[in-house]
Amino acid sequence: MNKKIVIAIILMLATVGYLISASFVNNKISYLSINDLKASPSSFIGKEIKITGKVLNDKLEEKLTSEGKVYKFKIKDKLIKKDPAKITILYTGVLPDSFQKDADVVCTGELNKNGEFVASSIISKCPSKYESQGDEHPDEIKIKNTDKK
Amino acid sequence: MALLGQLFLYLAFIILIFSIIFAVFAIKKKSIKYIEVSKYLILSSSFLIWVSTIALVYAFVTNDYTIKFVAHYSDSTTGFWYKVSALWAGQAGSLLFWTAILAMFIIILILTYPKKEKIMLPHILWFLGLSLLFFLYIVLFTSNPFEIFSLKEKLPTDGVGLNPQLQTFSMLFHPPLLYLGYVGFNIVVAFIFAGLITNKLDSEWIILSRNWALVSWLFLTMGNILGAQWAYTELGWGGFWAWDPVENASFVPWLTSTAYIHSANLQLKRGIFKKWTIVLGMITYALTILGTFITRSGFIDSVHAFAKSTIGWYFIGFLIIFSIISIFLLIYRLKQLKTYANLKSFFSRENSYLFANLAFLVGVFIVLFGTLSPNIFKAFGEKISINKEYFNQVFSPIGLFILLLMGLAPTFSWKKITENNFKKRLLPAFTLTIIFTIAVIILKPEMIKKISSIYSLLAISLSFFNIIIITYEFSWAFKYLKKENYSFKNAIIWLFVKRNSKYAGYLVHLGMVMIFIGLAGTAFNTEKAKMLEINQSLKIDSYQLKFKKIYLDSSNIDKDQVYALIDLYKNGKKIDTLKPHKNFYNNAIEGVTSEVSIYSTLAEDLYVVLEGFDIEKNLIFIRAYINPLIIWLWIGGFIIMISSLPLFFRKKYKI
Repeated sequence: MNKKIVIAIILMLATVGYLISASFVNNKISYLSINDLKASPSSFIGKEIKITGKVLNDKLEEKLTSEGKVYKFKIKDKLIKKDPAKITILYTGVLPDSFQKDADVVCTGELNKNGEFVASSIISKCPSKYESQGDEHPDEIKIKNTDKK
Repeated sequence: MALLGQLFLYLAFIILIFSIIFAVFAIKKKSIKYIEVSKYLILSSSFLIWVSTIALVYAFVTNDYTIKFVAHYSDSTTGFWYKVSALWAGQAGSLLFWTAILAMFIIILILTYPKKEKIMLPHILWFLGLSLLFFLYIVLFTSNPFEIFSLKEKLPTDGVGLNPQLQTFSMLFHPPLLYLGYVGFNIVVAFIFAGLITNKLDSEWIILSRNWALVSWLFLTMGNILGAQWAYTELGWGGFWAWDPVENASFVPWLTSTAYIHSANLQLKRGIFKKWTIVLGMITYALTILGTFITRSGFIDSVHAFAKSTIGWYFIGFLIIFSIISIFLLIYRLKQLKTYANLKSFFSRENSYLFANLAFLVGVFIVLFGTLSPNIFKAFGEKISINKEYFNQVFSPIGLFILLLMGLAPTFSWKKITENNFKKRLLPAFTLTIIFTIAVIILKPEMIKKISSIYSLLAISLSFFNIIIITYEFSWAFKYLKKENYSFKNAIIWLFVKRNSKYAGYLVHLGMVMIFIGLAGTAFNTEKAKMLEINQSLKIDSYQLKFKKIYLDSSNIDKDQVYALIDLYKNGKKIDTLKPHKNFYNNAIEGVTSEVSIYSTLAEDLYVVLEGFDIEKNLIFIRAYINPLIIWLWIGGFIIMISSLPLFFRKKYKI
């Protein structure tokens, strides 16, 4: 191969390598379960983090303000079945269409001093509704949903 | 129906095994008769797969809720076409659908295969046979769409219904298009394997697989664009691409397949890049399998809700076996794959292809690294997530570099840049681009304030550069055609049949340039949200959104709709009435979807979402986005689609 080509390739790879490492460090954020967060909350106060859990509430506390709706609800750790850790989420904005009780949510934001999580964005994953219901009988799904009303 | 579909699948499975055995015998005994037998066996197996797929669709259309899959993905209120599309709404059905597409491609391939070619054919037969067998195995033994309710269970009175977010026009087409793209590369790789094993590594396999590669690429392109459009119009967050693992999974094979198409063309024309073409083909196929693993295994955390099941690990197994065989074959034929380019200068068209290939691969690495890094870090005990800014920051320079090469390549000649080309094309085009860039900066000084807007500025400048180059190329062609006195009809034939890879190729590039222009707009998105009472307004930019009315429409059987009626004014003049609304579905899923209202112009989209409402108090909460230039994404996609069609005219190469 030509020398110039080799030099150009090395230059290109070095630039990309630099970009990846620089950008990666800036955009890497901790992604925790509620249990992880509750284990050492003080080390995360004021830092942007992501947490994931299951929505606990049937009814949300909500207030319509000029900023939009302010929601307050609780989520629990989704992996630990027995006595899972819980946390209160505060969120101003619009909840995703698929947000509901038992939905898996991913909240990005920070922990405030009162131990509440102030979310700037919420993504809802709702796998329970569409895919993993495979084993349940369709009639039961309907009964459950009617009960919720 | 369930029984019939099931039975035919088992039959297809058994016949397929025999087809593979006969193909292997045909190679061992060098017997043409055995090839024929293997061919007809795989044809009948493929045919049976289709019969059972149609049986499943029939079950959907006739509301046959004895089948679990049907009961879970449709109900009696689901519309006809959405019932058909429910086939690929869930995992079991989509795998059957995938198998059926592969079967269809195999049927077409065998029916159009040149009669004289008998050397590569048996290898293609066993390879495709095994691929089809793999999918059939998964469908039959791990995720069977024909599973029925057992006798003990009560039959459901109605189905669960289809996820309302999937009940949209683009969802009818987006998954099948991606599957078609994925499966097409299975055929290309069959040719690569056959070529490597039989040592027929000249252009023959490329010519035979050319249209398969093109059609896969086209489907992947359209699949990605429609996916973006679905996200834009359906999800209501104002954006169209979130670098979610599932999006990335369909994006990376598109990158390598684009590089593949260019390399294959270069090998066909210049006899070089043999290794590149083969490696890119293999990587593309490997990435489609990796993508399936990512989307199907639950291994990677994604917004998309797919089933977490074990079938992902089958795909990893398949991927590992495929990679080992590929690497082995490559090493085995390394000598035969050597080519010599004999370049006279660094600035040659060959090198621009080389660097484009490299850039595509680096792009794949960037995206894969970002997608998989949470898992890599997890292995070391650190739980992390990557913001999508990582992708924007790191991928954008690569995209811009590719855009630059796209413009440069036509001005470089083969082997070296000629003085004539440099003086008459490159230099003036560069000068004009620099003048244009300076003009843009003077008119819009905010362009150089942020990194993201500098990327946008570069995208616009380089797009301008590309447009000049493409204009040059066409004006040269028009002059030539005029000089030679071509009639209009012959001129079209010359441009788009005889020279199609060049001129249709430039039009595809033009479509790509438009997509870059659309992407450039994203750095200047703005949004505003406000709670409104009747006759109050939200002002954003030069628009004014005046809330007139809120009402409930319950005339549909399957859903109730809440509409907000909003008058749209621009610079004080009423231009439109927008109706953002929310749908509340009545099926068992009880989904809610927000339907956005978009006022589109060539310069920008005004995108309005009804976020919340109180129908008794006549209150609404709306959010409005201004998305500059976004329409060019869809226009560009459309131009790519139309202008890649002439590429399918096959030139008559001697085989």
